[in-house]
Amino acid sequence: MKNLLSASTLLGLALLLPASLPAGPRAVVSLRLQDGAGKKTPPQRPGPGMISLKDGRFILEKPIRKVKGGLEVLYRNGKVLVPDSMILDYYSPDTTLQYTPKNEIERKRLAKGLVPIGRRWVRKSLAEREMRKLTEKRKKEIEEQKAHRLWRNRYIVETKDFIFEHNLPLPLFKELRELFEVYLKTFLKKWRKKPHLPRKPRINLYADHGDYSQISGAKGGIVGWYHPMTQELHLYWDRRDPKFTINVLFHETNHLLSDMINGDFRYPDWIEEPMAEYYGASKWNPRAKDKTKRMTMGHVQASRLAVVKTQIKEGEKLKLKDMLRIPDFGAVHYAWGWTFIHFLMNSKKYAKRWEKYYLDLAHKKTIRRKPLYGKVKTVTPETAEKLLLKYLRVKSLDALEKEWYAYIDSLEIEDVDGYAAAGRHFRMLGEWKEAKKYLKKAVDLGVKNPYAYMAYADLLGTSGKDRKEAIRLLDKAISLDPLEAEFRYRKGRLLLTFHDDKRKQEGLRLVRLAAEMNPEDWTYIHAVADIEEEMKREDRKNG
Amino acid sequence: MRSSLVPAALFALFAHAAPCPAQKVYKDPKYGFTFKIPRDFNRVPVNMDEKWVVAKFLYKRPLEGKIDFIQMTPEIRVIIFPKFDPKDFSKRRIKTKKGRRTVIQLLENPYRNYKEFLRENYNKGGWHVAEEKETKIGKFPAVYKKILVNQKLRGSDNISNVIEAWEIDFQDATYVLQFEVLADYAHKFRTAIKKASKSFKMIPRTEALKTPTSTAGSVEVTYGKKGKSATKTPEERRRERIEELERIKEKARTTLPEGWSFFKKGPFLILQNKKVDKRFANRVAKQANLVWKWLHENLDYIGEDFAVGAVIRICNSAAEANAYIDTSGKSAYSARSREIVIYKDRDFGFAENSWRMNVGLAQRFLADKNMRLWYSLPPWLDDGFVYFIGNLKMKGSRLLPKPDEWDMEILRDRLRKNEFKKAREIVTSKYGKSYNSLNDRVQSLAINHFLMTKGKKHKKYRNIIPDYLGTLDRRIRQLEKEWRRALEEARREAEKSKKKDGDDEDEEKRAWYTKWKEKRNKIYEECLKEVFGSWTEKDWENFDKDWKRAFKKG
Repeated sequence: MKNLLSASTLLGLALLLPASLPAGPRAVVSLRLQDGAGKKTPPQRPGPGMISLKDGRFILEKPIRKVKGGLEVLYRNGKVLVPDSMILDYYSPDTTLQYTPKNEIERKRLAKGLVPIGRRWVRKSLAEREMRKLTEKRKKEIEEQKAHRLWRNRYIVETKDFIFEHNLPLPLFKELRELFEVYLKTFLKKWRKKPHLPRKPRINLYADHGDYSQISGAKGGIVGWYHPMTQELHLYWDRRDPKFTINVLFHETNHLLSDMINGDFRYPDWIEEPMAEYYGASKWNPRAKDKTKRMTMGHVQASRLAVVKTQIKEGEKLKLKDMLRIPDFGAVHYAWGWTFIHFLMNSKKYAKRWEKYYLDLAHKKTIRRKPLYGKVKTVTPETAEKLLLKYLRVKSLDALEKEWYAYIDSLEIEDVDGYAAAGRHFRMLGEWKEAKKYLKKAVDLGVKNPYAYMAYADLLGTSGKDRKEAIRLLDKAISLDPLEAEFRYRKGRLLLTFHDDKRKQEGLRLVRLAAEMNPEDWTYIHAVADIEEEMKREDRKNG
Repeated sequence: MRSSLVPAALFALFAHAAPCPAQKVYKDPKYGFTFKIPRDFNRVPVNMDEKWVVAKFLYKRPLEGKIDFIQMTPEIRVIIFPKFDPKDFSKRRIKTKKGRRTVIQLLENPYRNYKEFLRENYNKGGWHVAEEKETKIGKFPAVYKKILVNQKLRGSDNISNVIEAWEIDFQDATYVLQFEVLADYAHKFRTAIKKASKSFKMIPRTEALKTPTSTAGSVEVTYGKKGKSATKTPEERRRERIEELERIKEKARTTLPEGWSFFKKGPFLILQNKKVDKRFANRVAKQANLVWKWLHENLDYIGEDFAVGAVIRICNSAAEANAYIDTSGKSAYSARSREIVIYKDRDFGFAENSWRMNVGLAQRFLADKNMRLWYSLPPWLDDGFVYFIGNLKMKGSRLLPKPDEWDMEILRDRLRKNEFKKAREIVTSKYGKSYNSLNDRVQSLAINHFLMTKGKKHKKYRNIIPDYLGTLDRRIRQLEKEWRRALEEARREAEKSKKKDGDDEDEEKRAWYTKWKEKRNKIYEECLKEVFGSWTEKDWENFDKDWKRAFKKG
């Protein structure tokens, strides 16, 4: 006996459903009712369904089953539990739930072929008809969401201050849109200048890095950009590192906002980029009740600090005088520049003076500026230096530099995400010891980013205690993002280093599962082939 | 008599009355396809290393953008993606251990489809598929795509280019007919291109379709010993290089399209589009040989190896040269390392292409003579020395070092404004640190120019470059030995702890590479100490005065 009902549309059904039903994700829910005698129907293999995830991913044409706490995706090489917290929508042609009658009356009604809808019991055929309609509707909606991933079908939303073009899941976009609005308000309030741009800025938000680099044309290490000629901003959502995405968003949007209030003036790179970095370290808490407190500024940029500390360790301190004159401001200079701005903005002595300097450079009429291109002007390094000394009321750059270096020495990474970011950054730089130190701290403090666990596991050895610890870390990563094939792959690889057959077989299964979960990445397919080949060879050797 | 003349006259009349030439049919029996080339499109050569694009056609002339300042020659490409199972492909990856040696077959994942290919190769702007529909070409299913290209990164709102593509499913492979034009002219070509796509047909292939996997090379990793090529004598390596060059020359000759010819001059094979006059080709050949001679006379000391020559390809236009150079990723990289591509520039003369050819020859020479040294040059030599060679100009049968007018203008301007750094700063600067600007590059060029010309007459400056290169070479060789030792130690450690060697070895390598920069900078410092160690402040001051004076006097 199989009855299909919808939780999302047939109001009141939720009252009858078990508490474990997803409260967040909208879903087509079906009911499998126990017959009057209380016999359970045998489990059936579900048909192919679809899941739309909050981070923009989709799982298509895979059998899915509703279980306590989420959905189970049934791959050939294993089940993967997707928690409710990750799901935006899902569709399954035959997801089933057990409905156990609570009393004798309900048992009788069920036996008569009635089905509970809200507070009413209706005929099964009616409920089935309704369910079919809703199922089709839900399927279409998910297909539509997927179609919107294509840039030609992107959403275009115009608000009072911005025009957004995006292919993100709508709830995610809603959150980001709010961020932009709060950011604009906070920025304008801080600098007390009226925005004036020739046209409404256009903000392009891409669902992933692939779309971003393809459509915006950005290559190499550019992770977001703003063009002052078109007032266009291009950013992407990195589901693997939402914190990083928010940092980039704050950074790049700062260029736009600075452009909004400063008109045809361009700051020298040593001011423009580090100021954007200063804002880039802002934090966003969409759950804060007080809207004005959702954005907080002036935090520590952990990865930038990691770069600066490494350079200091290597005896390569950047001179302030040199920084003011660097023609090609690169990643290392961003880091040094950020520490300088952080120092000034957090100094009781200099904060107000620096802010005045910042505004006057762009707005004070008596300051001599040189043309940069078209109508746009800037100041020479000499003017910038002279005015910096005058505004900050310091005698020489050397004196200021001393204070700045001392401030850097006092800077510490301030939170768990910072430790993770610094650890991953040190790992990228090849500083294993430092990387281990920071990643361990992050892991011990329960960082939420699964890639931090993977990065730490990667740094551990492949024998003894280390290997066991690495497996534990990868398990944690899997629990945080069960749909990331890489975690299963790495765990599989680790298990294959053991000498017992059981673990080896489990390792192979996990690598196969990774290949099944992400067939686009051929690393896994090749790995399966290699491992199978190697195992066969070993078998032959052992007779 | 009269009757016999009439038909001829009539024929002539018709021929003039109908100026449109007949549409040419392009047949490629190797890849088994044929289609009608739209009028005014001509076939151009495809790079010898190319593995995906099998044919390219260019319109007779470049077109200028009507709104944005942009120029492009409309282009047609045929691209093939053979179908295969990735699992089969991975089985063909070979990793064999022979004692201390591991031979790894170098195979790259092929492109799976047109989208992946475009994502990794298209670099003329951002793009998205604006229209997509299923269609049929003959009896084969196909997908038509209209792709719009933007220049957002350059601050333009407009669509710059339009790509129309037909992905035709030919059972064992997907053939893509791709047409690209400036958006302003897309409508003009629409009918012709549509007709061309409709005429696309399969014909029997004369060769089996190769999957890109079949062309892989291999690499040999040897622990504890010097690499295979390092154990050979310079003479043996020379023979190998000559063989390789001959193979490339042979391929270049046999794959030349219609309208091209070739000739040999010294160690070079010159390929030329027949539309380029013979006089120009001869001039190119003569200059190439003079530069080659100059390199031998002036730089033979940098290594015990032998430089063997190159292939020089002279295209008819910049568009043709660019189309030839533009090679898809995941293609081979062998012929390109031996081929120099230039073109006859009818607008701005030979200067730019002369520079390009000289630099190409210098790179070829240095790589053959001493690859290790070539890759380790400090910024002031890497920029300045190679620029100097690039600027050698032919006058009669001589080569004259003459900086480019544009460089000279910057040079004079900066000298006037006294904007150059002290020579000591330039010579001691390291990559990524305080050596970045155009000023620094021009100054490096000027210093090298001075050292290779007027400075040669000065006892103190005569041997600076040879001494520096000699010291650098010695140090780099030492460093290479250390690297091998480190690898061997890593391997031994891995064996001791019975770890899987791959991972730890990789970690060692990574760690070593991160220290590489540090070591390289240390080497530069040692070279400076050895070459300029005895120089006093006064010597540096004099040097600054001398090189500047050389340019002030012209």
